Amino acid sequence: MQFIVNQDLPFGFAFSSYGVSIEIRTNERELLTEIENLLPPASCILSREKPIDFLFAVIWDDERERISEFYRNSEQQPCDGDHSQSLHLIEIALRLTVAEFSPHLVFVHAGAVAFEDSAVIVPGRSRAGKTTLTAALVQNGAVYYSDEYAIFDEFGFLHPFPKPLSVREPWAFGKQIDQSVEKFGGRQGTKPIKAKAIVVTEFEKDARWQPERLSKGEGVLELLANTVSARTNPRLALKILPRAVENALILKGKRGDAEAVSKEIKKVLTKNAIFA
Amino acid sequence: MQNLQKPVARHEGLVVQEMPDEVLVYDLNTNKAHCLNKSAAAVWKNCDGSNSISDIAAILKNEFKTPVSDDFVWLAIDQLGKDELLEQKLTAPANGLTRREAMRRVALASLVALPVVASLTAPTAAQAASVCSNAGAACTCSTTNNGAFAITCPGSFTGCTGACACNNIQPGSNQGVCQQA
Repeated sequence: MQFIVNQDLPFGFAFSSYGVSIEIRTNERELLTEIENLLPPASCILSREKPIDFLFAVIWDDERERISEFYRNSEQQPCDGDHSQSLHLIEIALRLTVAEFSPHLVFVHAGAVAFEDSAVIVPGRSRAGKTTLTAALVQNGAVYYSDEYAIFDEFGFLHPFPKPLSVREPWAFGKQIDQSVEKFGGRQGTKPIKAKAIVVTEFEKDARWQPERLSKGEGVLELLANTVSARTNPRLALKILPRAVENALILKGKRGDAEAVSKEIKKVLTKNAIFA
Repeated sequence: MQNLQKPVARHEGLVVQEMPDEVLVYDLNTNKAHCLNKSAAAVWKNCDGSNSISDIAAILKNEFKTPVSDDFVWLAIDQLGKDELLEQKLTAPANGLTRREAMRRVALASLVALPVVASLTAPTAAQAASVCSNAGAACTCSTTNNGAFAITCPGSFTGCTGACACNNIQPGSNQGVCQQA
């Protein structure tokens, strides 16, 4: 594949998000505005002279109907769908790039909320029920940090990844629909806080919430299993994740109804605070 | 004679992170992560090539202030060897016991937690983020209806939980586009 040179893609801008700088170039000016709406949270536009970590090249086809090619650096990405699907893929690729290559932060695929400065982290893969449990915790009074990434800094503090909750609606055949945290009666958290509970769980119909308690080391493994940069930067992950769990109770087990479990988790946090 | 073997811990290609009672090890060659509990970590740390199995048992007895048998150390050595955390795998003396029976015997005789190594294979970025790495690629679908399972998503299903689903299916055909399931 011939690397795309600047003169083929005259339109572009650069931005930085969580320490990763990305330039986007395209052959269609209108596309830039659409892509700007897809930038990861905490993005800020950079001046063109700054060095960048990644170049995204997005090529609109000759009929101006759909995106025909899409590259991250020189690596071609699949985009055979229609225009909105291709934009969605670009959005995912931007977030994944930031999560994988952030130089000083570790991104764990997890829900994250807080009760009075005590964070609850719910790591897990897609369809494990993270967002449902995160939403239930918010409805029970927790402050919302994210339903996609728990971000930890070098001291093990949790930072927000502010985005709407992506809830799977039965009426939409299980497709994810973005809903603001305010719709769940909650608000977005902003300040860095420490985790007091790591809840490793997935939904199973009629399951009783009887979690086992894991050690801190086992808790790190559970977070690592959902850490985007686990293979790219294991040194950073192993430096930060133990600090992330140092004050936390680690619980693992299947769960049934999210509403009931969220109340149990809140109780555990209160009890843990008393006996800490 | 076999208790005089001198195991050597592997260090090359490993990232090691100590925690208060456990040790985390990441193997850069295999992308496997291990968590050694206190007992396993104590055995591993004393595998310096100069300590025999019996020496290590004596060191641990001193450290834990409770009797530690050679069998206890062999349990750890066996696990550490399987997880490629030793320079060379050692063979425990044959005593006719299965590993489960040996563990039970050691557990009954020990006041110290059995040596345990918990392990996992680290995910790729796409797997961790639950991103369907082939989302957006053309595929063959199981039916002609949107939402069908993709029979073929190019390459592997890396990152997908379950199968990729099909959408944007061309009318009258079963050709569609992979999407996140």
